Amino acid sequence: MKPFYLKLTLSVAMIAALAGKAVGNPAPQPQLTLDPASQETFNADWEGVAGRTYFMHFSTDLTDWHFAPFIEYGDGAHNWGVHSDADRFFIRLCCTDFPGINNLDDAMSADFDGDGLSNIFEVTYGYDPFEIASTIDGPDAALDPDADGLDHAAEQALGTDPMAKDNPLLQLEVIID
Amino acid sequence: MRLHILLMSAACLSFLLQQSLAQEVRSAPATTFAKLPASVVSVDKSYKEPRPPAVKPDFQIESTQVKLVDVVESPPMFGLPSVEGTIRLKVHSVADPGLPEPERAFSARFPQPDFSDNPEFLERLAQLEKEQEQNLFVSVSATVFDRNRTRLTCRPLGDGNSHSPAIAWSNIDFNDFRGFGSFKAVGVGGEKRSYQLMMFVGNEDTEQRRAWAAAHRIKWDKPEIPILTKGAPAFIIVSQDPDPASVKLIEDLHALYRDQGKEMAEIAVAREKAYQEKKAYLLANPPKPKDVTVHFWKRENATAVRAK
Repeated sequence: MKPFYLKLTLSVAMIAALAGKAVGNPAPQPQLTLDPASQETFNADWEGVAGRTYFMHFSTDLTDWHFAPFIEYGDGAHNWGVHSDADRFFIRLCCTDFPGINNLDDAMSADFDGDGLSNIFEVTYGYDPFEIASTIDGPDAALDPDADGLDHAAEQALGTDPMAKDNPLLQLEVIID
Repeated sequence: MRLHILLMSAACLSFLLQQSLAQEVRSAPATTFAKLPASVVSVDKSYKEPRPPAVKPDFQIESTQVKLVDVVESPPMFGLPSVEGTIRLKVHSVADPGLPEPERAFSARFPQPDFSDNPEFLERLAQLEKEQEQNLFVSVSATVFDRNRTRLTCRPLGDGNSHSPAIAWSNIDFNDFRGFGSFKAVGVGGEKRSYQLMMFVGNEDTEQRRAWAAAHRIKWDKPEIPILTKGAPAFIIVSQDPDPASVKLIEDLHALYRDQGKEMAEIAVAREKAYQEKKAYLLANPPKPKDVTVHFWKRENATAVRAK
């Protein structure tokens, strides 16, 4: 019984701590609007808040959510176009007042989950920038989906494509006399 | 003493009168007419060219991510298995295709004058409101016993007033009320009511329920169903002091069945047949989840259009 109590108390304390963080009166976030546009596309628009970093989530079943491959930052109007051939398609805005972010470049190059991969690398290749291990396959940085011997951390450092077998060490130059 | 007996008798009579009123077999007023939307009754069987798919914008892909995603989708019909499988989810970042931005709303471009102080305008508005049909969003809960008698719980919702539900027994099989969501009624004074239905229809097989209860050693008593003759649609209100708006709704439902019950029964049979055919097809050809492609682009000219 005691461990359960301890666990519960710790959980409550953590929630209280998190709530305390959130209570710092963050500026209200105007809602995202999704309007039909021409050729069966949709316009997703929202007003940004200064100092805030934005991600977009999308889903086809309201259960599994994926990151859209872009990041936005700061105040002003943010206007994106969306097209999907899914029967059902949902989007939602995800934002954070992560400290130390002063512009879009900061937001893209930052590493919110501290796994060694930048936020923009993670959303571009379909990972969660707030989770060290977005998939059941292990930490995002250690994955090598193109099986070229370079994990994501190495691909990011070398600037190679993590979805193509482009390991420069594997490319042999053949010279024929 | 005589006065006391007289008062007691009056009270008894009043009670009996109330009871008899509450149990009165009623039918829809002959002066009320109701009808289904034309789209429900007249099914156009003529061949129509399917709508051509919208032409997708000419996207210029800048980057792509592909994921294999395991999906479990809800069954296409009740009683069928879920649609499961692995799909390819392709997400493209594309260049702005430069689609036309929607223009701002007319009212935003041309602000409308304010007539709210103009007595003529207000009078005309009140007249129009009077003439206009009353839109009613209503809840109808129907339990059909042995495909024979229906217990109804009905009330209007969302008109700003709180209505207590009217409970009634009807001699209509409310299974025939499935498959449409609206109907209109015209009352004795020409007043028009347009109903939007939120309808729940369930079936109770009393023999099956009795056998189940006996097998599980659960006490179950068949509800007391008032005597209602077959024939013209009729009902008995059993709730005390029913809300007039809720009673009006029950009357209009019975007027609808009186006026279009034959068509409603035919439509119900046709719909059930189509449902079974579709179910058989889907069982023989189980659907697979389809791949999904998504495009995202930043709309570069949106701000410029907004500033105009």
